[in-house]
Amino acid sequence: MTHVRSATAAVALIAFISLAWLALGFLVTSSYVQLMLTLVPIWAVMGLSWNILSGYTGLVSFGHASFFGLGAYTVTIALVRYDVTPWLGIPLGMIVGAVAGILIGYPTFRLRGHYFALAMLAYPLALLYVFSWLGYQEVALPMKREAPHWYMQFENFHAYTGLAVALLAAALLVSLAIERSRFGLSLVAIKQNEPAAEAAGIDTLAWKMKAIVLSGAIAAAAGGLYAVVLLVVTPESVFGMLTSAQALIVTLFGGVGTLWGPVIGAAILVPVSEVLQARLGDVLPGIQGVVFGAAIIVVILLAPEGIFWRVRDRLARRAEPTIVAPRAEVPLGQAAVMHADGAALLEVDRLAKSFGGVRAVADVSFTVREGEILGIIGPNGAGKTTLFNLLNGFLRPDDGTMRFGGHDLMGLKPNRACRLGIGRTFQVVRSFPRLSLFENVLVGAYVAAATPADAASAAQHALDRVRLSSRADEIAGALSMRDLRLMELARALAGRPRLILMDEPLAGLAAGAIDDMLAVIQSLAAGGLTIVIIEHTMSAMMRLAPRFLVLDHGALLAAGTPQEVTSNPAVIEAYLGKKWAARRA
Amino acid sequence: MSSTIGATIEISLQALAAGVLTGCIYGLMCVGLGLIFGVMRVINFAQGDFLMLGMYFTLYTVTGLGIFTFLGPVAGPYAGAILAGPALFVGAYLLHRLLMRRLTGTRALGGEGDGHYGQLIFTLGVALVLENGALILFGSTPEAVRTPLASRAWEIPLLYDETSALFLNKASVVAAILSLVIAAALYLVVNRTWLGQTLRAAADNPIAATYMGIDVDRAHRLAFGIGAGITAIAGGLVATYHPFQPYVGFEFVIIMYAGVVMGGMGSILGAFWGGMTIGLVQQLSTLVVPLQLQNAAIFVVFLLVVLLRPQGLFGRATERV
Amino acid sequence: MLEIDGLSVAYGGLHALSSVSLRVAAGQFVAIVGPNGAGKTTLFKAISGTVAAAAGAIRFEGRDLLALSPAARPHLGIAHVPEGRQPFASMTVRENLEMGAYRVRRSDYRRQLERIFALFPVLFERRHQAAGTLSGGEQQMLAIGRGIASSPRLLLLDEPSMGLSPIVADAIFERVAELHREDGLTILMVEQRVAEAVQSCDFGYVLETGRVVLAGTRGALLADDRIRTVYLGM
Repeated sequence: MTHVRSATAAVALIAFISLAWLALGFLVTSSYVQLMLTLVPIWAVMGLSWNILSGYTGLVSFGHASFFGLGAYTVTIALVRYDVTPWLGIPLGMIVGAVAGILIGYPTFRLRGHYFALAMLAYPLALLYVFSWLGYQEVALPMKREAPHWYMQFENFHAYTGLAVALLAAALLVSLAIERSRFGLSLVAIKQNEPAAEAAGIDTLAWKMKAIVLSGAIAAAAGGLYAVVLLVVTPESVFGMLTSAQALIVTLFGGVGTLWGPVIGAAILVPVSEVLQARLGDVLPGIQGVVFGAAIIVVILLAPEGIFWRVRDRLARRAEPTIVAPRAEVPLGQAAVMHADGAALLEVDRLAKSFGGVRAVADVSFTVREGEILGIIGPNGAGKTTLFNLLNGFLRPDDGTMRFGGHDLMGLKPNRACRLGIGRTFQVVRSFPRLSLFENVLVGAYVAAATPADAASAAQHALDRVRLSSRADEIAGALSMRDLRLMELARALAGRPRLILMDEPLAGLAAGAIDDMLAVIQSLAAGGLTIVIIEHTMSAMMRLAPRFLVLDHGALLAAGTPQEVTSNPAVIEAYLGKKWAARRA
Repeated sequence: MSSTIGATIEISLQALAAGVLTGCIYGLMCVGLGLIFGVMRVINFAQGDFLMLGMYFTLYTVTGLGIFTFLGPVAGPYAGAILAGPALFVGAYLLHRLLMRRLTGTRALGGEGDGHYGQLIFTLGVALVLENGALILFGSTPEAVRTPLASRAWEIPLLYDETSALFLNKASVVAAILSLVIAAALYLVVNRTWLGQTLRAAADNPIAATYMGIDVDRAHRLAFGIGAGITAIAGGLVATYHPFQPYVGFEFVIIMYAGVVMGGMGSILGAFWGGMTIGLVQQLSTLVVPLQLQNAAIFVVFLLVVLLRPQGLFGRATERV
Repeated sequence: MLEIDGLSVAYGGLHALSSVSLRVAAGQFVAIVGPNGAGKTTLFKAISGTVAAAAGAIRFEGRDLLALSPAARPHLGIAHVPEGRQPFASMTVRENLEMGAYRVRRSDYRRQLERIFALFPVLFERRHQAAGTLSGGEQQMLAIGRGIASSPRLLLLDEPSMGLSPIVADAIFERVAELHREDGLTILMVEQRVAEAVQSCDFGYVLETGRVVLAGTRGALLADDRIRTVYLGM
């Protein structure tokens, strides 16, 4: 498969870059340039660490200096106070960084957007003052004349470059492993749409915690090595704002959410700023910061996601073939036979939900039987989507009961509901535009999969069922609305649900595409899947669902066959207005 | 025995007074940032550097160029500080007009919120350019705007004891009073004038505002300019009793964030009280924790507020993210 | 007065409108009906400029609207009462109405204000109350009041009955009809309650999946059973 091939290529590229960087090191004699060659990988590692948390999940951290600084101080204090070698100090620092990740992540992940960014900013600055107060104003690492190698001290500076490159290679491999696995897919899914990710069965908090722990450990390793290389640590240099900013800047500049971004960013920005600092630092003392700042401004204005994506998007656009959508040639049948004899799968009793005094869902009761297609219709604002949100756990009902296959659904988080077998699609399709169709579907497959291979086969099977398997490698961003809707359906199917909640699957589709969608839904129902569907295109619904519920103002207005429902005066009134109903009566 | 209690009370009162005086100025800074956040929903990282530029502006108009020598040594610095407002207004207005606009307003109206991260990071870039540019231009030597008031104090005798008294630094008192006046003026502008009403409408519901014919981009620009100007004035006032260098912004930017978050992000009055709270926490914390941890105390209080009550101490839960 | 020709709007692969053409003459009350997702709101957003048109032309009194920024369009005399009412929730009713008159002279506004309060007395009672605390029906009245505060030449009304109980919706429709009848206001209204909408309009269009499928005068539409098909599928 292409994924395996590209992963091998990526590993080869990592090996090549590492070796090339080392070779470059041997060509250089100036100790200053050598230091720079060492700092580039360190900052690239810092960028990778930031990227694992913020790049993939989209939660912007302005406080990665916390982890960097804790790593640096752990190494320093361990050596100065307890004579512990950095060979042990750095792993120790990584543990401290990981623990800090837990302590910081747990409370802070309750916050979103601006609040998360601001809270993250406060941690390193508080630590900065604490470490100054503890008397670690400026701590130098002592020179060890005996057994310097044991204390990670080398005559030859190439050794430091080697260590930094080794750390970078390790961080790149970790990032690669994340990017290619369930872990990375889950993080990207969280970034793109946290509710959709939850609905696809992803325990978002657990993945975010894993990300910050790993990110904290990596940043701490970078900080530890930084202390070893520079031999002196001050609170400002490791906990300062510029440290946090630098992690973010190299990544933003190079490319967010890809492992190459931080490497590209660090390889360009660190040398440029260091050279400027060296050449002009005496005359223009702040030139480094000015260049960094200007780099951010230019990047955010011209290539908001970084150089890597800018270049890749441009190449991709050039190579993009014109896609002719293959149309499914499936004859449309009449509405499927009603499986009235099926066992009750979903039982909803007197479900109620209010928002600030408005009854969005009022005492709604109904049963969905195994293998049934149930249509839910009703005017705008009738509470249909709210009902779905209650069923899959986005909202907590005020009252009533919901049972699914014998399990109580009350109070379950969406990812738990998904695990029980409730899949869901959304009114507004949320795709992960930078991922391939296959990967988009794979996100939904892990929920019910024991192994990655199992997940891949579930995803493949789901794509087959919606008849998109021939296009699995296409990037989702280039798909038509029809294909996006089918892809979203496949994502829900990949989790092997027993019941699927479809919220307006036909919205925005042209007539031909509607037929394709209906054919797919009918074939799914024929395969035994239970489907509850909200839809407004009545002509389509008449062909699809043998039984309807009608909601109006949050309450159940009518239930029955399409004929019964559409000749019901109350329904006509709700849809076409009272006067129309009166005229027809 | 009683003298120990008396001394404790004296120290406490002294800290309280210092807290209120500092709090007024912090309040003014926060009001500037709060206006920008309230209207644009953007955290401005460069706010601390607008403050710093306000300080240098005051320094150069007073001692460098000597424009206000005719006002004498007492009034001159204050005139300089107030003039920093319009100066920074123009600068920030142009910054928004020429660059920031591309990341804001109608483009962000779609509601995805991506535009906001762009702006956040943009302001980080601006902050780095400004403070390091200032380092190049002004050098790293700490400066001060000298006013004879800084070394004078009002002595307020305490009634219970003839030997003890409250000392109020005159420069701090004048700065606090000016801060109060300017913050009150801004409050009136926002709540009582047509301009303020337009800004509030653009902040409240940008889409509806567009339907009314309000140019939301322009409203953002004005808020950005006014917010920068207000904070610059606060900077000029701080400069009369606090030495500064180009990196001074960091010291204060966190104070401003903390104040604005405590104030409920977006309310002018809330931002002022938030700033006041920070001033009080900072000064009163010296009674119980070592002086070096004064600022750490702010962050701890800030984190507690953000984590436990993100809608702010004085605010309602109204953030639309 | 308003001429739309071959208007198409697409976002993210979704064809919200394809080649829609319609006319609104001065003094006319035109209704656009159609089920959810038919593209009605998108049409209004295209007129107001909050979504971009992919093809076609929109002219208002001969001027090309697509060449103007969204904020410039109200200044021609077009008022948009948006779907979901969109009040300035933290501001008072009076302030909301003042914002509606953003583009006009204060003296013109004062005269219009009396008219608004005459139409919707409850707004006068609640003039000092924050708009966010009003009920749904009151917010809809406020949205319409805010729309006419600028004495517009064309009023765009998007789903005034949405989420309202039938009684409240009826009251709103009566006021809108009154505005048309007595003030001679030109109105373009989008609505999913077909009967109410068609009954009060001079001319109507039926939109389905982004296309005009039916157009005609009130009488013609009322006699046409195809509307029922569009809505109820039979």
